Amino acid sequence: MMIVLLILTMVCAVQAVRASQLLNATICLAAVSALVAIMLYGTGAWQIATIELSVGTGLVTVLMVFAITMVGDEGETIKGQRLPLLLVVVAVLLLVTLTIPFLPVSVIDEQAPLSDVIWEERGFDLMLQVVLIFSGVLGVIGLLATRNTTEESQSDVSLVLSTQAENKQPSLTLEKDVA
Amino acid sequence: MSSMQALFIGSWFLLIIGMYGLMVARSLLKMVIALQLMVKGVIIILVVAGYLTGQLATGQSLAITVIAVDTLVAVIGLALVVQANAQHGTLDTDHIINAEG
Repeated sequence: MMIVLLILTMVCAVQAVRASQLLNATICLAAVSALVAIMLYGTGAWQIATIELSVGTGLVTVLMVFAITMVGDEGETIKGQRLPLLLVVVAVLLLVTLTIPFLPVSVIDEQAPLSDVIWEERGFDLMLQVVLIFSGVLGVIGLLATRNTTEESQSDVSLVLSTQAENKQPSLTLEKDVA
Repeated sequence: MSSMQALFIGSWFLLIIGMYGLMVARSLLKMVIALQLMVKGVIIILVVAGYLTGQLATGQSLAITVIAVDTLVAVIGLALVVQANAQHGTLDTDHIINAEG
């Protein structure tokens, strides 16, 4: 069953890379995310499977479709493929020689539950994730903000120190020199 | 070979397919998609490595961190894609690199 899911995942991943239309590639990516979530559930990591299903298959797919709606779905052709294929072959050779001979056999899981590990051992990671997410939100707001480029905003402005006759208090005013 | 070991090797292939997609893609959005494929492979590798070494909870906690950061990267990448399209009118990297200004 796991091997069948793995083969389906590979097929969807290859199609996501080869698809000429961005929307087709996005749908294939969503299929890969869903299959990955099922495989993660099969390993016993049901919490991660749930998160991957909701975030990877749901949120990221919706965001990509939204981005495609904004930029348009222009088809693309794949570039010359000799060097990438050579690098893929080298990567597969490294995998075969350095990883497969040393694969461990599964042992009994005697570790504490996930909640204990996350809150007690990796609490610092959680704080970092909160900071990262907050900074990411600020980054996206900054990237997508639109600038006001009217004539008024391009005029020279200067600070003028003046005294008001009524109360004889010094005040700082902003005056615009429109060109 | 057990199914978990096969899953471990298969996730490496997912990483390699994402790497290949990143190298051959001309569209910026396609690059974001290829990056997502690579991270999916990494997530499986982390969880399966935890399973094979008897530390599934540690593998899951690392995978949670990777999912959070990956989503952030996808969001910021898509925002950059939208801005690049607004600036250059295309997502083709060759046109963007050769554009003047």
